[in-house]
Amino acid sequence: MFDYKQIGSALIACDQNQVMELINNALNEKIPAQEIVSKGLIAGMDAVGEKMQKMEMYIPEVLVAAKIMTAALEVLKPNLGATGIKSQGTVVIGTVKGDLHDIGKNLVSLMLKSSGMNVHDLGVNVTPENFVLKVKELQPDFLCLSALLTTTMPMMKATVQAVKESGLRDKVKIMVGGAPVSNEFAKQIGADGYAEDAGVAVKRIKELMPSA
Amino acid sequence: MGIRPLGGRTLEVLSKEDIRKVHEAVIDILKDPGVKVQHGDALDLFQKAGAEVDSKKQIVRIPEFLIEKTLNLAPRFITVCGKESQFDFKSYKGVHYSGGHGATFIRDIETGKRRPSTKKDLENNVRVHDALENTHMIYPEIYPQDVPAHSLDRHISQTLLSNTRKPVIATAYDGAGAKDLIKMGIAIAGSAEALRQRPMFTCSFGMISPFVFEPARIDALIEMCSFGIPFQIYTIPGAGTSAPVTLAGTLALSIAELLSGLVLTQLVKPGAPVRLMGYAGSSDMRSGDFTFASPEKALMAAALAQMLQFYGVPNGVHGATTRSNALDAQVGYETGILNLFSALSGSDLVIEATSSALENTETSYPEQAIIGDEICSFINRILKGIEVNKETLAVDVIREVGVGGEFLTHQHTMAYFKKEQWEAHLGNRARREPWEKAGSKDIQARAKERLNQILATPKPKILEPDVQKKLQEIVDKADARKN
Repeated sequence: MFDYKQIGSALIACDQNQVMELINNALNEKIPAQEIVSKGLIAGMDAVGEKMQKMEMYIPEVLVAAKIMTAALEVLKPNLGATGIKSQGTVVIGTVKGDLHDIGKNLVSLMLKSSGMNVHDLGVNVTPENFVLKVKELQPDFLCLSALLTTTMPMMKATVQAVKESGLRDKVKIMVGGAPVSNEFAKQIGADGYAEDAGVAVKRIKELMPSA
Repeated sequence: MGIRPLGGRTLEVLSKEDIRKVHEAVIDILKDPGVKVQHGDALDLFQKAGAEVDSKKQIVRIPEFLIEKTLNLAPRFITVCGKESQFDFKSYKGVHYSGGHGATFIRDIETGKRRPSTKKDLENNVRVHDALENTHMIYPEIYPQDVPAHSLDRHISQTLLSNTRKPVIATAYDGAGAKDLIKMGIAIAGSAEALRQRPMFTCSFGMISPFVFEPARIDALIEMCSFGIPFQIYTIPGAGTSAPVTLAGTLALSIAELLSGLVLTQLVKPGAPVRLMGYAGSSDMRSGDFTFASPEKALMAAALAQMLQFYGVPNGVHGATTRSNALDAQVGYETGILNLFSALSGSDLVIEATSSALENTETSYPEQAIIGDEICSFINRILKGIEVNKETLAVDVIREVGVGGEFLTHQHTMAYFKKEQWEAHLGNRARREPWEKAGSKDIQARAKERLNQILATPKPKILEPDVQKKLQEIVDKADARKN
């Protein structure tokens, strides 16, 4: 009986060799790759997210864990078959117009990817029109907006407004985040959710995910 | 206005050897990786001046000779004028203070509740700073949330320029914003020439660490520098996220960014007045947040000031910032220590020094500006240092009073006590009983009283009605343009 929790523990310990060894063991035990991903790696990254939230892991450590996770997925790819990894949901993410900061947004992006989401990162300085276009095209479950500057926070409001005007507002959940953003602000501009850091972002999105 | 700390013996956190090493690292960094300039005209300017330019990648590698040349072109001092000359900011006079930058929330004075900030809040904030002795330049401490996002810069500049007699740090996010700002300046000064003669505002350009120049902001820089408005370049890297986690690495990165900005201003217009502002801090490794108050921030502010003084350029650093989410003792020690450290470093402008903002600069607690003013007043006394001469050593007086005598009634005491001793305006110095009789008011309560006094005085007349109308027209036009 393979203990999936070991993978989570190895991720938390940022021990790449251990993760790889566990994956090989699991494959040798003929466990389907899909299960190693969902019960081992994705569940493991959830545990990492929780540790981060409890302030038991620092961001540089979380990032190393996410990178190990990505490397492990590469190893498993040949075994996943044509369907690849079953997506946990689709997210469109970007930094709003006027803001060129992306470190935090990239962190959220990476964490979402490593939790099994299909992430479309539009980059920085994304206009409200462009966000709307991508929501129309990709029909994501979530639209995630990032801003670092207090000066660009109003652009989040403008983006939410643009999604409303396009008639797509009830088709997509909107999450906002970034250093100056708060829950209060999220409510004020009519977003569905707010996350104070990348760990919480994953958790919140899973909570808000429309059940298929 | 403006004090040279301790007769010029500023705090030196770096040794001469350290300065040399940082300088060498800066030169090395500007050669490789260089900086990213997302702007065709600016890339051309760098290329013509002899920098190695990769137009495709928009990367500029800046050679040492170009840094030296432009450092020689840039003025050593800058002046930003008040609407009355008594308020002129002259960097060579020493340490000055300003309020903060960019709070989007406010704790309402009446209700005590936190809420999104408004244009009226910004107006009140400017009026308070106009009245405070230790605010020498007026920053947009509050970013109003009740104006359109695309014309926010015009609303801010209008509010600042309309409510203070002091020099202003206005905002322009792009070329069009800069043109509008210059129009406002001309309306106030009376003509373009009068504005050039006595510019009553400066404007800032923030680099995105590491090493990225934003195209829209370059447009604003070109407009301002070409016209002849003093300009500010700032950078705010977080050690561990947008800069190396080591303080020395973040310092070298900051200085490299600032110097690359200075090079651009001098290529746009040789001799353009420019001030370099270094705001580096550390990043919280638990959240990734930029940490506005930490011992590392104090060290880096002083080191940045020291490096920028080494290059002989007008400079500014952060002072009193705080991570506290309540007006509590943490605000007191964080703002006090950071302000003192930055002031002792001898920087021309300690920004955030009299800021009302708490919560990593995000929320204005209006009474905190009054407390900040008191802290600066306290620090000013420290900066003035100890005057040592025959009169102050008072050997004759000591002999005259003799063993076992008293000094209280001596005329030497009478002659010197007001000069030697600082007097608290806001801080308590009363014994317990009289303090209780006066209502047992803590510093927040006393600051609030002073704040209300300032806001209750009639608004000073700053601009003539026809000038106000012109500014309003500029704002209205910008509002009407969608995006």
